Amino acid sequence: MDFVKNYFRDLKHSFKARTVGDFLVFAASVLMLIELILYLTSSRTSFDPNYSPSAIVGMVVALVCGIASIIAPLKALGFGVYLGSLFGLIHYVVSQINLIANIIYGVDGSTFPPAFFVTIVCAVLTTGLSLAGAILIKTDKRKERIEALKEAA
Amino acid sequence: MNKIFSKKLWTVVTVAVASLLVIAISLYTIAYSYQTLLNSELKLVNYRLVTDGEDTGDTEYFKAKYDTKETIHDYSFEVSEKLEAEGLVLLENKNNALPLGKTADIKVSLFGTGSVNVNCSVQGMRGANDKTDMPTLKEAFEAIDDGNGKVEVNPVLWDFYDSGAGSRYGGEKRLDASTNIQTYYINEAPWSVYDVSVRGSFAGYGDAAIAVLTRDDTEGADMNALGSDGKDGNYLALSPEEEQLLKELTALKHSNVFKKLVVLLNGAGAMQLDFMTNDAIDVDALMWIGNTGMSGVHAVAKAIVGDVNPSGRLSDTYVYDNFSSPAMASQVLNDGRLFSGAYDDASLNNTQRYYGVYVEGVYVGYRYYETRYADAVEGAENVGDYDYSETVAYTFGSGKSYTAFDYSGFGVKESVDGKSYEASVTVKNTGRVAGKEVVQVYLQKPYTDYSKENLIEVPAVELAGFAKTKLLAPGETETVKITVEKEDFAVYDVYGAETYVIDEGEHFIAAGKNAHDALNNILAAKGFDVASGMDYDGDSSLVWSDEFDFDDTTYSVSGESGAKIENRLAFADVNRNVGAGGNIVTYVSRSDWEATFPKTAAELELTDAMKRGLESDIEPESEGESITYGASNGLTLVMMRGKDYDDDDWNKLLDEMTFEDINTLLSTAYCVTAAIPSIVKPRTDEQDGPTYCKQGVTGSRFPCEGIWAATFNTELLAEVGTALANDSLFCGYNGMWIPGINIHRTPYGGRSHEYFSEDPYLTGMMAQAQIIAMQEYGVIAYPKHFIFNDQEDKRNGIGTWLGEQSAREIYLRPWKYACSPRRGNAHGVMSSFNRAGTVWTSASDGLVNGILRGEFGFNGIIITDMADANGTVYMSCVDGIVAGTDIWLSSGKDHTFMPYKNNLTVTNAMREACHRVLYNVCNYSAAMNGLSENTRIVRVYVWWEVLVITLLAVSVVLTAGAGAMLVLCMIKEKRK
Repeated sequence: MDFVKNYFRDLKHSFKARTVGDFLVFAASVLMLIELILYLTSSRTSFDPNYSPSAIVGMVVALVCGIASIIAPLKALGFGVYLGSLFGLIHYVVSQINLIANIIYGVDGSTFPPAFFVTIVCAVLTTGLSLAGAILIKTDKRKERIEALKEAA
Repeated sequence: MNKIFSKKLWTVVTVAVASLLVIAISLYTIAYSYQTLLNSELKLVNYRLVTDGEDTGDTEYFKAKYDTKETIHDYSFEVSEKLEAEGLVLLENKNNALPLGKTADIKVSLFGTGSVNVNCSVQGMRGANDKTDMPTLKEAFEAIDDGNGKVEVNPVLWDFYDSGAGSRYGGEKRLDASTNIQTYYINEAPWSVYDVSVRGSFAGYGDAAIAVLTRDDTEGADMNALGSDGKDGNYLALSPEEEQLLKELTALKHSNVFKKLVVLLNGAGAMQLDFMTNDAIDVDALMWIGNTGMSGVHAVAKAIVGDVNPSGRLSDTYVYDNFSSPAMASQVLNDGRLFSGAYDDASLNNTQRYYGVYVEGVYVGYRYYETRYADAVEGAENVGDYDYSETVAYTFGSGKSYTAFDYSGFGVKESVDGKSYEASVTVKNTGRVAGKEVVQVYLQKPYTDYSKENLIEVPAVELAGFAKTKLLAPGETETVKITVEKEDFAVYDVYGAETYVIDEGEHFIAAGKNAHDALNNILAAKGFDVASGMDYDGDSSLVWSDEFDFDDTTYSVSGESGAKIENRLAFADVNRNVGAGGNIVTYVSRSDWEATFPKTAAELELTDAMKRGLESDIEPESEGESITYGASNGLTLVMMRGKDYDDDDWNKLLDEMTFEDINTLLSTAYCVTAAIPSIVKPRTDEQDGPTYCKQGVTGSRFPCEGIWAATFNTELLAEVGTALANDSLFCGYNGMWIPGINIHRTPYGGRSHEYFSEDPYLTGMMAQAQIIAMQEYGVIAYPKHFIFNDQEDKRNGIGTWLGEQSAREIYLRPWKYACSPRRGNAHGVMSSFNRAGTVWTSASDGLVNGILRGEFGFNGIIITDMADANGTVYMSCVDGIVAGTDIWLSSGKDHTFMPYKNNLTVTNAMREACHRVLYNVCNYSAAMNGLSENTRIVRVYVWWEVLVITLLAVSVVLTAGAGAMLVLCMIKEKRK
């Protein structure tokens, strides 16, 4: 029972000791969640009717790393979010290639749906924020803060 | 040393190379999923042919006639000019205004933004092509110098359009974001921008004012009947600026600044000619020049001065009001004057929602105008308010010459086998210059009580044959012989005999200078004259007639294949589709023109059955024989050359293929049919056209197909076929998706430049000549788009509804000429984006297996139109394959047969499709050149494969190394 109690106390301290990098990675993770939801709900068009497994894998890896980084704020997880979202971004664009080709070549007058832009913006922000966040995560500083919090408690 | 073990450093390096690894993995997977497309676009081949031992003979099965860039370019240049010279149509020539002659130097002024930017384009849009090496109209005029005088073009006016104030104007196409409709704009320079210096230059170049009225069209968007800057939004009418230009030029002519006003109609769609009746516009000569291709402007310039005598005849009817045909009268009742209507059901996607109805039935183009005229003359009931002369400006087949021709000695005799007639007529050049004449033969079938009872529609005149004379010197004669097939007298009887019948009554064959002329000759033979309401008296000596008995047997069997001909298209006719519920369409009928002429939009309610019909990806029940894959029978594809389609060795060869081989061959046909190493099948490469080889490098580009048709010269079409085939081979292709053989149902079709004519016979005969010539060189022709793709509006999945008689007699008829083994014998066909009724055309058993393969005897390869971007959802593999479609124009990303590996119905259909592809490639494709029985295929890695694999390998190693260093640093730091 004490073990569980201690765990949650440590987790609480960990949250309180977050640095700028942690916030950025957290923001990236939220955006990734939005991106994934958008992708699953509105990415299938008459031009590209199938989900891209690669895009989903990238997004899910990024999201899992993001969630994990909340619990265990490791720099490596921040980079995991970045690499997953980069992979997801590339494969998302490729999954929409028929739509993009149709519009670029003006085949039938179709235009980009708003969800496409939002997904792209989310994907780019996720990639950028997670990279910046991972770089800015200061594990030493966080440790110090956690120790200080423990002492104060 | 410590610096090397810096954790920060290795963190940065690891992240950087890991990013590279992510990119490399992505590149690798993407590149391999698009490898067919990539190799095709980059013109790379990822295998090589290796021949063991000695060759077993000449393996160059098909030989090119022209094999250098220069010879192909030069030949194409010559053919392009010949096409234009024989295809441009002189419509009006008051007081012999043309030719301008060259007894002295001529000075002309070229007007209109199109004058400096003539639509010579092969893609319809004048700006679509690189015009390098294409002469301008000015250069074409200035190139005329045969010692009799030169032609000078007003340089000030030219500069005004080319680089001055006039250059800010010109045609364009814009997308209206709110309606998602592409709109074409004329955007002619207004008269107010012609400054004093420009206007002052006219007098010095006053031998003729030549105005070029240019129109564009292109795939994906029909020309607009509403919303453009033409009169009342009509793109094919004059814009206010064009009208003012012609009025100003008329005024300048009347004040003797210009001697003549010549108007050139530069576009594929028939323009509305109401301006020719405008009292303030006085055009001396009117000429249709179509889209002129790479060198057609030379022919135009030569025709204007008289070095070329026009001999083209209209391949479409030109009228004063483009909405006067029943097809357009119906269309303009729709929202936005678009072809499409929409089902009122929000659950449908964009490929299901739209439909259009061919309410005009068989009365397309001149078939409508002439038939209603005939009924008016013959005193038929309910003709209504119809004045032919005020409606039709220039009928189908019209065209003037600088000389005159007389016809005599017309006669018709039946062939020994009783299957055809031979009409002969002697043509004499009675004028003063040499020229070519187009003799046209039309037929008339009786419109009887039986026709009316069984809702059979019978046009009063239909083209049944033609011949072009040689260049006849003044006074010279030539007797031309024209074959008319007896089966062309048959009409399709949907409700009575449910097949083709010859109706009882008098049937006519008549020669004439155009459709109207032939009809007047027939009416004269029937005893009608001007007093009866004809616009001029016909010549009954040019008419033959005979009484036929009713016959519902002879033509109930296909003359092409021996298959039974029966109703197959009830599903596409609202009035016969059992699931269409209470939807009823009124088709135009000559039994009552007034009542049946479109007055309300043809709106359809979506029934549950129709909605089910719109669904795709319907997996059939599995039945059929099990299939052998991957056998080792020692056969390769080249060993099958010359073997009959039913030879048992084909089964042995097919047994050697794996399911994956077959899937790749059928589903991944983006500009190729894939190489299959297991049977040593080489890759074939196909390319788009139809009036040039897309991705070509020789610069060969030809006028629009309407101009080809207007030549009425099949020998010239064979030359086009030869030029395109040799261009194609030189550019590395052995198949072309050409020619376009849909119908100019209205003048507004977005692909007007890709299709020949409003007439199915002319379309079919021209296509046939071209295809035969092309395929001699091992370039497989894929005429397109099968079928009912006569407009572009909402083309991705739009449902075309039409009656079976018009489907067969108008729209399917050219395919008989193009595809029947005893005629054009095309070894390929490209299907269309649209549906027939609710069924995607390529998934229609009735259309593909029933009519195209069954009745027409076609056993070639059917490829879909672009299946990736446009038709990913509804152009379903499983739907198409069981209906007889063979290959998907696709990267294979979204189209695959893999889920159906265990469905025997699908796999047997796949095997048969594979059989057809291999049979046609093996016997008719130049891709087989170089292959002998000792040849095998060896896989090679093309440069992009080497690149991505290297990138992947390097990034894996770097990431692993950097990661290891990072771990070391971390361990070291921990120890510290």
